Amino acid sequence: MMITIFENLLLSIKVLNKKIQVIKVEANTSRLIKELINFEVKIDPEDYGIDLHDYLRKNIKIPSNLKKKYFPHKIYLDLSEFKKALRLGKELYELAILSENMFYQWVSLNNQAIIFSNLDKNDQAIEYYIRAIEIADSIKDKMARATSLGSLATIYEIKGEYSKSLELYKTILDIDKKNDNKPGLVFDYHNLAILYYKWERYSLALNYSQKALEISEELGDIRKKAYILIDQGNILLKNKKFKVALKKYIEASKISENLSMWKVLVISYTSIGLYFHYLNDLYKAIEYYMKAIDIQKQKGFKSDMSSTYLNLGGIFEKIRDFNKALIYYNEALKIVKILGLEKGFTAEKIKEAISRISLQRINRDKLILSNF
Amino acid sequence: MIKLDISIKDLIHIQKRLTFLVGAGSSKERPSCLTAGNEMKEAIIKFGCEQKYINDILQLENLRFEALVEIFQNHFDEELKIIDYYGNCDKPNLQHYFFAHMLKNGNYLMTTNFDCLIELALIYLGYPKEKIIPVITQGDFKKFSIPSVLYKRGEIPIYKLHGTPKNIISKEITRNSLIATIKSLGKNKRGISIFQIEPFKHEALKNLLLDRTLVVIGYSGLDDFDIIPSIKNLSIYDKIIWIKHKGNDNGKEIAYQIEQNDNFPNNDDYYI
Repeated sequence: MMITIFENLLLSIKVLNKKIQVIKVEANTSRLIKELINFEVKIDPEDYGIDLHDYLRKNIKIPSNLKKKYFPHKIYLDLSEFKKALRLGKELYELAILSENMFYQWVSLNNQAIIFSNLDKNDQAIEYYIRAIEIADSIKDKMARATSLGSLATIYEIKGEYSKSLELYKTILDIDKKNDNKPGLVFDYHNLAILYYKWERYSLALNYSQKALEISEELGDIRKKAYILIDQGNILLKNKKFKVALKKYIEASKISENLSMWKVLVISYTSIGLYFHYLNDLYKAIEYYMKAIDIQKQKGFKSDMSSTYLNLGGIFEKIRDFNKALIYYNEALKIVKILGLEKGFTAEKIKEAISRISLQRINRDKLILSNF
Repeated sequence: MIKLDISIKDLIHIQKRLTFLVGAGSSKERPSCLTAGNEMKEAIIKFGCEQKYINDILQLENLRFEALVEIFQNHFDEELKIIDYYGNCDKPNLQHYFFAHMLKNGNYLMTTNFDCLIELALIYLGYPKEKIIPVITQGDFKKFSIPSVLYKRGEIPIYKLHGTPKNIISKEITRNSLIATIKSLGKNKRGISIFQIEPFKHEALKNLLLDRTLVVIGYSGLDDFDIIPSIKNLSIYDKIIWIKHKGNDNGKEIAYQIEQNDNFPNNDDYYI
């Protein structure tokens, strides 16, 4: 019997909560309610006859051509449909030039840079961020400038150009200090902590991470706190403070679960998985990776799913269960192909792993044959 | 799944502690005639997108209503006037009267709808206006987190989980709270994620569900980011009766009990 998404939802309620009685009723709701009502009701004979399309046209300002171009671009971007978003981003830029609209020129350049960075084309991302910053400067838009500067710093960080990244982060930090922008400071310190972590300067990383944590607590920004805790866990792990690191990850997972921050919950579970992976407690690691993959599947977090599959493949390879390892590596490859990232770094890593496994299987088969 | 030889009338009337979760489907019936999420989504896309991209955007399966509304709000409609389309409707239908009646009988109700039609149905049924408590803002959720306390005072709370532009009883403008909720929903719902009920609503949600029978109506549950995950994760209610709308039911509803050993599909496409 075909099970629909709806039934699957009810099933999952039942599976998660075994004691709860779960009943599905298929009914024409209007007819059913008529039967259930045992009192007189005077229903207005006239309908609320407002046509939604008319309502929008009359009550909301008709969007400009630029906004009409921006809207689908932004939707594609938010849904990680990068190729379409990029095409529209280019069209948006051309239209903004024609209309002499500097703000949308900045928006399109900045967003195209975001797309390039997501497509692992960091050099192009840098070029576009620099152009975006020039435009932000020319229109004296401080917010726009800070946004592009921060993103540019992140790209340098990804490229391992830590000094350049540090310089930019410190520029933004100075601006936020001057303006007493506390939410901004949380981001700045957190970014610096991540940078120093990657730079392997762990005591500086911990110091900035603690500053970020303290201000986020002062501001009651629990959501941000969850992110900071995960990164603090990573730093502590590098300092070999295992138990404290695990505590941070667990605290982050609790916050994200309570606030239904599913992406962060995935990161928390993955971090706990990595923690056990690192300590060679491989079955515990599998348990947490599986928890992460469950959420990723349910929520459709495709972009992160490939790494989790890759991690799972790695563990099964380590315990020499090559069949399972291959299944997970292939799943990871399937995802990167869907995302159009088959030429990226992750895809290369997956392909390497698949050929390594295939080789190991051939060797194993040869060994079995030779034993005969 | 086991087919139950019981009518919904029996199912509902033998339960004494009902909590209704009411979705947009309940306000579709005339004379309210309000469009549900999908139609609103389509109208927003047609209004905001360049013609040549409309069809493609309409086909994006991962595009969530709240995420779309958030982008729309940021760039086209800062004050979320679009929600007034719902708020302005003053014509409750039979379903709203049914809910009002159930509320008067001591049952609880929460809704994600932006309209105020259940409040109006209560007023039209003669319930004293000052005894109707729409729970909309953060302050409301903190103040009125225990429904039983209100009922003891003869007051009827209506928990508006996604907010509404105006509290039609106190006349308080609650637009900011609505905007905050939409923003919070949008943030984590960019096609990828889903819901998150704001933390200040947790306490009320728990008190609405503890040891009760939850009746879900007018709700597909498939495009929900915050409520359904919370309901799935909260193991504090006894029973859930989910009424799935069917155009033609040949004059009789069919009830099934979901069993733990019912098989999950293997195909990933079935994940929600």
